[in-house]
Amino acid sequence: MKAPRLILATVSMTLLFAGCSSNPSVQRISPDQVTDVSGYWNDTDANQTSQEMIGQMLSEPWLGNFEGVNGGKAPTVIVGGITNLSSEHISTSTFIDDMQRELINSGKVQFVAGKDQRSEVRDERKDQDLNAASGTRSAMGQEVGADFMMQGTINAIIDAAGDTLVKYYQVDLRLINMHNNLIVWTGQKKIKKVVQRSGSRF
Amino acid sequence: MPAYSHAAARLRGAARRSRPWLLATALLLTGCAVTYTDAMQQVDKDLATDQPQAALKALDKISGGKDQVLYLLNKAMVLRMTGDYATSAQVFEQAKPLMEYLEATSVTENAAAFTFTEGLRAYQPPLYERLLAHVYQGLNYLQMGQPDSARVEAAQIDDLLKRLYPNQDAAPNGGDAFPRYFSGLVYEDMGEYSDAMIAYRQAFKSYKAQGAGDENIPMDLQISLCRFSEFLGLTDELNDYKKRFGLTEWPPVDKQDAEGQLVFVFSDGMGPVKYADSSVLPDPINGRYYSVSLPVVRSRGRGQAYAAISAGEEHVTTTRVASIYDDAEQQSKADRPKLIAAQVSRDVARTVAANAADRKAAGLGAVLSLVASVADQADTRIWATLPDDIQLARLRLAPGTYDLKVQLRGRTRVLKGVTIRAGQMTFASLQWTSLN
Repeated sequence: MKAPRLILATVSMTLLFAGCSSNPSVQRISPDQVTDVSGYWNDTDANQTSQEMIGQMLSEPWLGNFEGVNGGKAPTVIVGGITNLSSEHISTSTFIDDMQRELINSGKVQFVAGKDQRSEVRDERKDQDLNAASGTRSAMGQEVGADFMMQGTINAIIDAAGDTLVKYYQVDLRLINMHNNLIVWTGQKKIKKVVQRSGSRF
Repeated sequence: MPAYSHAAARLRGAARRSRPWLLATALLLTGCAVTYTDAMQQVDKDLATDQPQAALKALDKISGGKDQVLYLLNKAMVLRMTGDYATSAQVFEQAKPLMEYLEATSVTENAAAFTFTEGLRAYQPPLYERLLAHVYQGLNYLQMGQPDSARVEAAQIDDLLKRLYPNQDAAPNGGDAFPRYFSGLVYEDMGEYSDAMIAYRQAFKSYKAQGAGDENIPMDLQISLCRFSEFLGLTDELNDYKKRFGLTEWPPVDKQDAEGQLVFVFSDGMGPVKYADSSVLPDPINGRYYSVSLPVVRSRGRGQAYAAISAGEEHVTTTRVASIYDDAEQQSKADRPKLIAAQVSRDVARTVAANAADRKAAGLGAVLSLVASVADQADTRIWATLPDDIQLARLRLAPGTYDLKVQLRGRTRVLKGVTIRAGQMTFASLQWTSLN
């Protein structure tokens, strides 16, 4: 009766693996550890991009040039649009926030709040006008204007053949002078990955 | 011992030995929980009476297991019907990696499908369902005011087709016509007119591959092909389209347009379902049973009707841009040879098993053969909350807020507060599942 046993075993295994749930296993690891699971854009890519961009931004001449003509004043930057032209939903805020934090903490660059944050703060300021004690109010019209706007794009080229996938990401950032539209700095980070997919599963 | 006692003893022995088989068969027939088909019957009833929240509850009964992708796709679609585009988008995003994972061939599922029944495989959405998942996800993002994310969906449609059909860059039999058309709308919305033209051109080619005559190409696509070939200076191509479609004028492509555009995507009714066309045939010579059970696609369409759209003083009628029944039928025809091969394999496996059983206990083979043949049913799973067909209309409107009136088969629905902005495209959608 080998054949029926074999068939019964197949059914049992299939029901076991396909039909029933199991508890997930969780392991805590360092946020710096590289964890490539699917080949999609992940925290490691965001981290590498922000580190590279920060290094490029702080080491290139635009910063010294600005400080030179403005008596050592740190330039003020506003984050504009970072357009995602790739075929993945990529959260740009992860590496932009990392960049902002490092640059602000370096003391060499300052940022003004972006569009959405500003509007919330302005609403609060309006509210203060009506409801806060006069000595504690923040007056309207005292905001700092940005010297530069940071814009950028994320692009990806994907090449696939069989179970192999090559992913090439290119992140480009640029700083545009708000007074005269001159592009004073461009930064670039390229990431290339080869993803080998399994053609079979259990 | 009388003859009947021998027979009774043999039967008792056979029954005792067949217990594991009966257990396995019972498992096969009942499954771990409510089956997909059972749950979908309730979902259909709820949607027919305009109760998408109740349909969501019914769907939750099939969460997990081999139908997980179907659960997610249906859930995302029903969430769209409730107007919860954000949660729908999250659910579609959960379905995507699973669909990709299921592309890989499963050793155990194949073994089970070639031995017992197709329904033991995890559900792998066919190409048309995968493409439509990106289309409806793109619509989610457009309706949430996130055109960048909708653009990602258009790029994913392109990636998927390039990956699965690297030499054609298109789906077989024009199966990517509407997804390409939708991609064109997304690129147009982003102001990426070259990419929009490429996508519209691909859509045109795919509609032609479906067998559509020039006069059956959706009117809005005809106009878009003329608009953008003119804007991009593709004179020869423009002349060709003008000749094909008999068009002489169209709105200009103008980013500073004083008017806005409303693109209305109308999903009519409920998508096709599948039923099993089955028969179990006895072999009078060896006493074995053979089963033939293949899925047949059945339309749930209510007869072709087009929606009349009114916004302020402007009126337009939708045109059909996709037939889900045709897509499902094409897929079913393409799947048939491999389903028949698997059916033959299962009949052989059952015969081998029945012969082995008979060597242990005479008569047991016939019982096993019959039970296993009856249990072998066609896989009738399908993403059933898709509509029967998809229609589209575009209206040029002065900036402002409109109540959009949709009339179909003598009934009216109103989408309130649709805002039109100068020089921009606004996307609105409706799936009409109920009979009211």
